[in-house]
Amino acid sequence: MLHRAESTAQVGSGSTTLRATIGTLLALGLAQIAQAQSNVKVYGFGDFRMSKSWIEDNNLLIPEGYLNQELNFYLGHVNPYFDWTPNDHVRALVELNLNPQATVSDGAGMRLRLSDAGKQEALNVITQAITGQVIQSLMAQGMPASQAMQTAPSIAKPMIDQAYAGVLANEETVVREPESRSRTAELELVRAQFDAHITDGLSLRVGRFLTPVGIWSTDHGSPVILTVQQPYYISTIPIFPQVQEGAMAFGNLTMGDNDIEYAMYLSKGREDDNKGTNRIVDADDLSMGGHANIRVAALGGTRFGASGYVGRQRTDEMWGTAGYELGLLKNDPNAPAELQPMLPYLKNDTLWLDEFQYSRQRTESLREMCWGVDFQTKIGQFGFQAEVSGVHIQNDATGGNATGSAFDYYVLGSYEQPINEAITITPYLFFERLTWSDQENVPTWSIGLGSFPLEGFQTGSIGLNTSFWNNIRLKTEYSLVWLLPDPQTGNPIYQNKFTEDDLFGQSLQGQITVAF
Amino acid sequence: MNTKIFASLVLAAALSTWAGDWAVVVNPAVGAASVSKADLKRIFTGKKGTIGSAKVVPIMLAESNPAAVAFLKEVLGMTPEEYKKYWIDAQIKGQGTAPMTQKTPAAAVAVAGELPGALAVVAPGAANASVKELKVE
Repeated sequence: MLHRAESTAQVGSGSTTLRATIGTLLALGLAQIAQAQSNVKVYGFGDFRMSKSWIEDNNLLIPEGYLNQELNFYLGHVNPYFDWTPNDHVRALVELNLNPQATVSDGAGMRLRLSDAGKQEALNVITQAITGQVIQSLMAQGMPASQAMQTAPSIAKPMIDQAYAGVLANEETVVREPESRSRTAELELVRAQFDAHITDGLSLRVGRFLTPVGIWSTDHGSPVILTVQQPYYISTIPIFPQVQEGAMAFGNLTMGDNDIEYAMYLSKGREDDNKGTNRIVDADDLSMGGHANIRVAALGGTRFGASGYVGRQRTDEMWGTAGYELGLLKNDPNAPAELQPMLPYLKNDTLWLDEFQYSRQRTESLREMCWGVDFQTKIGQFGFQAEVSGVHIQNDATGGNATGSAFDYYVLGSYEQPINEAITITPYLFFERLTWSDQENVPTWSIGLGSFPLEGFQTGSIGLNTSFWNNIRLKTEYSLVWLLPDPQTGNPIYQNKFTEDDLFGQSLQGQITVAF
Repeated sequence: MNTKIFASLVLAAALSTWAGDWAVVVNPAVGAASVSKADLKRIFTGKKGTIGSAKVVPIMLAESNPAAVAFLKEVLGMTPEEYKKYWIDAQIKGQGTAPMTQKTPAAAVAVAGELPGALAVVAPGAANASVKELKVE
């Protein structure tokens, strides 16, 4: 009523005021309507990170780049979003990652170093020479020297293994050392999705999109993640594929005061370079999955969710059969110049390429079955969330007998305390445990730790997330990581080479993240 | 006499509760006559874009306006800061962008009167002939 009285007074004060008021409101209105109708928006997030780990030299995660011993200080992400909504029914969203390689600085890498410098040089020469010969011979056969051919293990690996065997005979001293680091900035397409909004309960999406799984798979941006380190099952060893390329139906449904979200998709499956997964040879190559969650109003919006995924990961290998013979070149003065340095180190013989036969063969056809459940609630200022995920994988190319699996869970507890209108602090506790089994049967599975005598690892963290004006967050986090040894398996290189101390590490991490 | 005063107070209190510290207006082309608080929450959190079969475009008041503060607290259970944080997070998750904001109820009414499907939070009594006030259930 008070407002209406004021309006009346304004109207009554004179026609000039009235015209000015109407003109201002109309201008404001037209500007806002134009804004609502154009709807091209650019926003995003960026983060800067530091980390320092205290781990033993022989920690098994150093070679794989999961941990290193130095202070790391780097730009983590700059992710711009381009969001276009031309009308109520259509939306296009593209998210880029401008610096995905920044995390390379985390990795120390690994290469073999022999105790004798001359032998090391010979090893390098052999590798280069044989790889070069393979490529040259392929080209001589009229075949393109594609990346796939260069890396086809059926061609190069036996030869290189043989040559290594010649050099490494009776040589047992193998140590690892860091590779030189690189920070190559690249442009990664995180997602490019095109939505058709039909009703609140049904929208369709095509393109490249984040896999709808649980809570922290789609909440991938650092501003919306409470911790510095995302759960390992998402960031490092993804149990579910992180992105899909395909089509999806999704929507929001209501059941009384309860809200239900769902998503169902059909896609080409887990992304993996050099595996030709763009090609859908038959219907069995398609992957599919879905997610649903319900927020129960009677429980204060507590969320219960479930996810599933059935996928196919194929390896179509360019299979070249190289007829090679072992020539007695050890003392042959006519041996190619590039092979001369290695001759003194050969036991009896070396390699020589002969003819090629070329074919394509599917060497692996992995069927993945992933599942997950999630839970999230807030009671007053206390927050709690947990996710449990697992995968069973089977290599159909070997008759379906080769299987592997992984299992992960994490729990996160937090307490949100506003300090004033601008600052909120949220201390938190986090624990995650990831285990796997029998992955030697599925060697190309992206877990990729099959060469380590481990059955998994677990981590615990305590941290503080401080929010400034909602779009700037400062996080500090202290973590412990325990590697879980598996006595049943092991790589000869590592057997009896590690101690209890080698299986434990601690780290301190900090992150500043900005939503813009 | 006392009975009349008491009855008047009860009636005033009832009207006050019904009217609340905020009101919702829509473009006259929107067919709905009422909306539930649950649906308002869904609309202003990007979970819903319709009332019945009618598409709606939400318009929020600036956080400095008491009607906005009251609406956010009563319907969304959030403070203005929490509401901003909600939409920052939603953007990063790819769930959409925050509704447009108007600085004053008069501006919100002006926009709602012109923009098809507009649904605006305004101060009580701010509605005029260019918009239709919805009953909130």
